[in-house]
Amino acid sequence: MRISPALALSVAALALAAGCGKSASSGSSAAPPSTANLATTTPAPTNTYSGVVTWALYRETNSLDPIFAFDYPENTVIAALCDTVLRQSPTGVVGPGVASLHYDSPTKLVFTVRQGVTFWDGSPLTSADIVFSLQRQMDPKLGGFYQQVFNRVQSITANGPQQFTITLKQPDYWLAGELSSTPGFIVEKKFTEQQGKAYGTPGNHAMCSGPYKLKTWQTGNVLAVVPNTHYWDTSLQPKVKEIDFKGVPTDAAATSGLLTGEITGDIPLNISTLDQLKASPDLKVYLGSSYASDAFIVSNAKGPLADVRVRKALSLAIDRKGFINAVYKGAAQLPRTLTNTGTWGYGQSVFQNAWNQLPEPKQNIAEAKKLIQQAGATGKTITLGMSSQLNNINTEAVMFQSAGQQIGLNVKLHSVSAANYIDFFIDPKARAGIDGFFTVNYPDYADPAGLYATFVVPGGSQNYDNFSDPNITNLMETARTTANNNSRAKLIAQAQKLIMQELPWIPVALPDTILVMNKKITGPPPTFSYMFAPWLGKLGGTG
Amino acid sequence: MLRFLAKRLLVLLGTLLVSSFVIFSALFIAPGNPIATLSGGRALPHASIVVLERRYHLNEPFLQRYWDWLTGVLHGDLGVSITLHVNVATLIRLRIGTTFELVAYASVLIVLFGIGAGLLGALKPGLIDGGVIIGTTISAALPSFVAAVVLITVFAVNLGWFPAQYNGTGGLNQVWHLTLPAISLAIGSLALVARVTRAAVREEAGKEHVQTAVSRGIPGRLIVRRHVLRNAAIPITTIAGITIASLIAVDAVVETAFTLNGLGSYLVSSAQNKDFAVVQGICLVLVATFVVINTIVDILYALLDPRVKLGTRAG
Repeated sequence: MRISPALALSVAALALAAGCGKSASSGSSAAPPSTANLATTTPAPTNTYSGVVTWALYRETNSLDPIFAFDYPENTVIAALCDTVLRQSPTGVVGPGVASLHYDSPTKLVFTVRQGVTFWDGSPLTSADIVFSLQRQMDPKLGGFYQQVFNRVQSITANGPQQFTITLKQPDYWLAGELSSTPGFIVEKKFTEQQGKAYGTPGNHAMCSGPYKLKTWQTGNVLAVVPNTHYWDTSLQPKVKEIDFKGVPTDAAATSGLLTGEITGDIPLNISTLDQLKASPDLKVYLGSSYASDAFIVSNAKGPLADVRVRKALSLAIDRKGFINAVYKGAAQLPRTLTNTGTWGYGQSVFQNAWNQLPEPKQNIAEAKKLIQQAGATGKTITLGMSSQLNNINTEAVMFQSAGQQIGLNVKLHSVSAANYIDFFIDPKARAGIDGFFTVNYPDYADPAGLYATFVVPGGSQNYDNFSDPNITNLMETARTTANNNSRAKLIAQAQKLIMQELPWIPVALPDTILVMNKKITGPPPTFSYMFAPWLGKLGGTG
Repeated sequence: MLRFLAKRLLVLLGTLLVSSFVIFSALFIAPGNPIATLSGGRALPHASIVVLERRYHLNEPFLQRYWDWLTGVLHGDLGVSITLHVNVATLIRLRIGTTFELVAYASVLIVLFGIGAGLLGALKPGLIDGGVIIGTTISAALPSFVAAVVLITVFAVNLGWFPAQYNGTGGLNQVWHLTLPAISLAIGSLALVARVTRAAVREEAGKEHVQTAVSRGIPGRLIVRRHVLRNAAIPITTIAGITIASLIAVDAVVETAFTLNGLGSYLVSSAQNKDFAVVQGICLVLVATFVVINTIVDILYALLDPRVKLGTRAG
């Protein structure tokens, strides 16, 4: 879920922009939800773009320190600046990055560091820098956001400048994915130690090895990066002179900026003016695969939603197509599973089969009513946490309310301000009296397990209702310790089947990645990898 | 004059102290969590939350936190932003120029066109006056954010005459970038100033001494300047002063619409993020500016009308 600053304003301005727009279409007449036919590439650049590329973020970047990168603006910029230990391909396949991985045993991971990789200051990147960066992520005193990811790590030690070893307490085949994601970003040891707490703050306080290097960061104004001409991966030599990242808080401002050419590129999470952008002769809009899921989180273990029949009934009653058209302007898939099809970074055929076997969700009020009656829940009250200031959340909550009331539930909406919506996620007091709330969530790497593990396993960071099913837990645990990709995918697919029967979360939509670029630039893949991998390095000009 | 200024300085300090306490309390009572902004709306691990709360003293009692902040300010330290880890003074310095340029630009528009339109309306009854009335009615009813959207759509997206967003690079380029924002900021207040000017000038024009002057054959231009405008100046100055001072509060909307790097939009987002030190710092600047503008208006009263003694309110 994205909470943009100055939301009250954006909502007002947005409504107006839609009114003034040329072709902002109404919800019901928009295109039908997209299928899995999503783009994974854009044409390669033919020359160097002579101007400055202005790339929009929904708000200003807060930090360039990977241990505090937890949201789109930070991830987008850090992925352009820094390398990860392993690397995600545009379609989410985990492979070698600055290092390559060899399993000596299920609990001993040996990494060989690539020769000739240098930081922007010219000093070589060695295993000491990587060990330092990972230990920094794990350090409880620093309060980084990814400590939990390393909970099976016993030790990380350098065996020489080009090699290091991670020893595990128990096998963990999810760790490699994490090392290709935010927890795996590498910073220079010497520089970071000198900077101390100032590392990653505005100014010039970052030292990485990615395809771009930091030129200047003036908070409130611009974060400018220029190509790193010494980058080790010669296939990622950007054909641009400079990218300026800027915070553009409203759909209206992003739209007018893109239409006038003041913004050259943007990856909005969803944008109410998508049709207007598509219609512009100066812009190219790509829909690509994504890791993101739009879902309803069941957070109360006791209320009417504790009964699986009530959860199923609610899932049957909502109008997903209408929602996808209204909020995503068609740029989302109907969710057969709770995780996006873009998360199949391995075992694709296994996950594809599992997807095909699951039914496409269809609205069925009669069936839903029956389930509510069977559960004896008719007339019972459920309370949904929402914010009327957040347009999408508001639309979603109202859809759930009308669905619930059609099938005999009494649905109350508990609205909080946009800024406080986050409290449902982090404050148990805010969740008191609430049966559930809405989220757009994603795993750190292309693996459905990356998201499932946060809410179907006891102790998961987003398992608010302490959901627990021994079969699911067992399958997840076995998967985590299974080396073979296809076998692991099969276990996750089995768990997924049970998850879709139990519905600890109710899936609403699987949004696509929307990449909007001025026709003068091209190159980066329109996929979710922009959050974690240096694919902005492919950016350049068109003829 | 010195005594007056000294008194005003004391008032300023008192106002700053009281308002800083009120703002701090309001922010403290308001629900929400400064850590939220760091997490982007996903669940943060509990261990990280604990560390961050300790680092930013979020669990300390209210008075302790206010006292810490106040002693910091007295030592010239405005504190550090939670989201950016940067000194608040630096953050304000980077943004204050934009806001002041925008407000100054809008003020010039308000004074020139507001008073100009008011005078025209008052002195040229008939078609012109009717035009002024209709024009000001429309512009008074136009909130800044609506004006911003309309101006962007027409002059930036469709005609391409002006940029739709961002600050300029200084000099004329900056003026070019701030034109649409300044118009949308000025447009509502402009109408108000025009209406008050029109009414004040009309009233003065109907007074006996003006009629006498007219009957004595004094040239119209001289009458307007000496007898009408001079007397109408007090209400015009009052309304212009108040509207210009209030622009500082309204400009957040305009800055957001045009993605300008100013204090107003930053205040709004910082308040939503409960970034205490930033909100306090910006509010101090705004309150001080408000008091200073009012002081200038008071001095202007005395200059405009010798009957008004410095420090007393004009009648």
